[in-house]
Amino acid sequence: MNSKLILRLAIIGVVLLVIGAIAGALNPFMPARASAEANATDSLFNVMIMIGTIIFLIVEGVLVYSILRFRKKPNDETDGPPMHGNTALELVWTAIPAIIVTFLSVAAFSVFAATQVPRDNELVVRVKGQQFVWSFSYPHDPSVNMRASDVLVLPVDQPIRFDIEAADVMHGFWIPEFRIKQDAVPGRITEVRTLPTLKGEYSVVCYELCGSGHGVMRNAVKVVERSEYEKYLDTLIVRPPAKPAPGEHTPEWGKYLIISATYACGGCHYLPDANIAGVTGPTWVGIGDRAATRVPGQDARTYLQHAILYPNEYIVPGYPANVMPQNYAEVMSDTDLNSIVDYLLQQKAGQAAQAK
Amino acid sequence: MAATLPAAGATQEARPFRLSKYLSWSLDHKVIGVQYLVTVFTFYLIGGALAMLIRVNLLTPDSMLFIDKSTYNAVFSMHGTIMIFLFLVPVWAGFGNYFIPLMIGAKDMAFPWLNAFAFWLLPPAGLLLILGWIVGPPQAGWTAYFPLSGPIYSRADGQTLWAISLHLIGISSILGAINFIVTLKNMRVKGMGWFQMPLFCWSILATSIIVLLATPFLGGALTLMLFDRLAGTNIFNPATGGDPLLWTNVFWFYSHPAVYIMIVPGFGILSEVLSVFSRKPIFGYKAIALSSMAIAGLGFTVWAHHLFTTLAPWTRVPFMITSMAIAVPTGIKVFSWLGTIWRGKIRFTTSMHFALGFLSLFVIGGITGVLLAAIPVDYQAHGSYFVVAHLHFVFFGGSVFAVYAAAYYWYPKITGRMMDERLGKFHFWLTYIGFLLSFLPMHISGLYGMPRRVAAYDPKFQAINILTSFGAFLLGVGQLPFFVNAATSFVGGIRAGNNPWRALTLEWQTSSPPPEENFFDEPVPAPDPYGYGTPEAASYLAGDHRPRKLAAEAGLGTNPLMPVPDMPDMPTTSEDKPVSGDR
Repeated sequence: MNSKLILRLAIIGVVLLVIGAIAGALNPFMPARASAEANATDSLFNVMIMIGTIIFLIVEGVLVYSILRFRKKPNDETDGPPMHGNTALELVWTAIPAIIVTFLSVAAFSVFAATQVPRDNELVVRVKGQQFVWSFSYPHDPSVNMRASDVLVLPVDQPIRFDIEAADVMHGFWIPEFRIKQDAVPGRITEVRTLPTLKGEYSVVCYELCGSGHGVMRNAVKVVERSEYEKYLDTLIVRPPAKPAPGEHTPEWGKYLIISATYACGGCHYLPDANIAGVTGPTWVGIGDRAATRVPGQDARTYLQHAILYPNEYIVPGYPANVMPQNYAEVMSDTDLNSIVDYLLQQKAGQAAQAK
Repeated sequence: MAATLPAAGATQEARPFRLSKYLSWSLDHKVIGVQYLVTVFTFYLIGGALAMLIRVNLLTPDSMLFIDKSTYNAVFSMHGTIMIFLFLVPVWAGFGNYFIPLMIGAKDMAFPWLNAFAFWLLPPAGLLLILGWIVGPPQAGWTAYFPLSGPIYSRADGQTLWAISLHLIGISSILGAINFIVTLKNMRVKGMGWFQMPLFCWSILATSIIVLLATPFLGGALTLMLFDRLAGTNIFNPATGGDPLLWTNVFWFYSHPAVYIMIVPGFGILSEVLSVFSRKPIFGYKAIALSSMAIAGLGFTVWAHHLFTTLAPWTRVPFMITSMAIAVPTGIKVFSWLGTIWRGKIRFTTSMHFALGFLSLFVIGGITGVLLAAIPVDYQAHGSYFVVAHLHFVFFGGSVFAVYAAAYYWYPKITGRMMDERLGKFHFWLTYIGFLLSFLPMHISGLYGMPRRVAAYDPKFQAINILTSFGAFLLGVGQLPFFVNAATSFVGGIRAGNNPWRALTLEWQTSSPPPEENFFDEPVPAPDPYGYGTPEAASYLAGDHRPRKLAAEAGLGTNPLMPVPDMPDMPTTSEDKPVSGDR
């Protein structure tokens, strides 16, 4: 190798390193960094982009150069030089990639290992994935009744551990701005840790195909000051109204039963007034209007009672049979049943938020 | 710029083409090869049409085409299943069936009856899968994770038919693999040792070993799925002690090696095409041959990189290491191919366009693959459009481009006609540009938070999706010139002659198409099937290898039916009139 060639290769090498470094430092491929994991992951990612860019430029560069420089000349039907290989070169292009992937494995390992170490004073948020919404339960004094929320509110700079369950099929828990991802697997509680570092609004997105609503299974994430987090938690506390005497029933008690998920209504039904957002079953917005006219011969109250106790008797068009639990007749008291019906009868159009 | 076509002036006598031969049971590997190819390309068109539906639906964030989003889920489930199991896995059985016996100088495959049987499993399997739409299509993706694919959440019978269909396809695959391995081991012509075998043969050998060892695991998993769906068992049902992760683990134990089944023969094609059209030996023949075997072996150790967010954390690091390691033999190949074209004399035929296109696109897929192998980066990319981008760069930019390179390379041998080069290049450019417009942007939408398999998405991704869809429409339309070309060239293309590309491998040393038993006489392989530029290669191509001369020297030609001194002249160049050959 003569010195002119060495100089040329050196210049190319320096240029590649500079372009690679710029690509690594300035690439816009990742969204905002809102957690400690995001910072660590992006540092690794940027190094990999730098190396990938350099390899990309070498391969494509040699390819384009060859296409331009080594095309067959007109009227030259002869063959090229019979070069079968070059052992030194082949060893180099085996060794260098091997060294690169070893380095990358070590770098990736150290970022990964950090995600496995519990931090001090972790806040444990329970996450439930179900078709097609996430719900979050925050840590609280067990004597207090706190309902689950469909908004994930987190205090900034607070270590978090998510304990994740799946209610029906596999789901995938992903907060892109945090760079954390963990499958929700039925039959297991899985966990993932994070430390949010940037206040703002983000999303938790389901990435594991879970049925027809997979694409809309997205909930809001808010990272806020601790004081705002505490205030939010307070709004989740369910202070139960007075329980009606036996034989009596009140809509306030019915609303409480729904909000507190006593009978898991919110898993499938939608009614913002009761903080429930299920989509598997028919919406309850305006159900007070519809109940009287669903089934000929049944007035509104009778229809709603039957819809709860004997769900297969009448299936709302567009929904499948056998999804609504069939056993409320055995487990729901008359007081509870009629309180819920009282509350549902109050849900008339014009009083609700957006319909589904 | 036009490559010179040395085939002008070829004068093979026209043989009557009988369609009935190709519609019926035949033991001739060449007929079976064509049957495979026509079948898989038909499924390719169906899978491609489904992709166009996907991209129409994603023009708006709220599932423009399919009010019932579960229909969308069925569309992409079928798209993936058809493209993988009914196109990319069997297409190499098609090319392999036609060309392995020819390349090694054999009259047919080792087990011709088994060969035909393996093919004839495929059309009914495909029909079963597609007719499943009538009873309710599968909607759980081509990966069919439990519990979504189980009896509670996928009540439609199409999911059951999916499992049965894949069983049939798996059996077809395994039987083909047995045939290839035995043929390659036992039926190479005298003078062709393992390391005188063309690299396409090495690639089919490696692929067949993968098929043989991996596909039974898919069969096992499918059987358990059928039990859970039909017989009331609860193997994958956690409510009664089963575990959905059992399915994911065994499924991927097959499905990762499956991706090598789909790409490794493409690597073999690259070696053939790049060498012939650079007129240079393949750079590092042994390295490429052995790296195919290394990839086949290592390919069994990486599967849980699909499960970095699924299985227990202690499993993740070992699979990261193996997944990173497999980049090394793959890189060796890419660099060796660059070494092949370097200082060559490149002829820019359409086949060469696709081979060079493969190189430019596969390296991107390889780089994103290494990114995915890094666990923390995978946390961001898994289950998102980044993976959709990666898989299409390697499946389409890689495998499909290799399929097209093979098609344009070997069409003259199969049909005796040249394809139209201008239409071919038009096909290439529509494909290349459409592909990049469609799949490059997906890397961004994926990392920014767009998950895969979604009928609807966050509105902030609409602009990228519109760009992707228009690229996809260009790509879709761009495939039509290929089929038009294949059809019109069949009746009106320039006659090809034996060896329009002046290649050294054995399939080119016989007529186009070959006679029923492939060769007119005992075939003599070139001492180096990639020896372009050597005097031995020049004399081989000039016909000096014909048995009349060399047979006596080499002790061949002792067949009493074909005494050496009395042999008639054999056609070896396009100017000669060939002896009759069957189509």
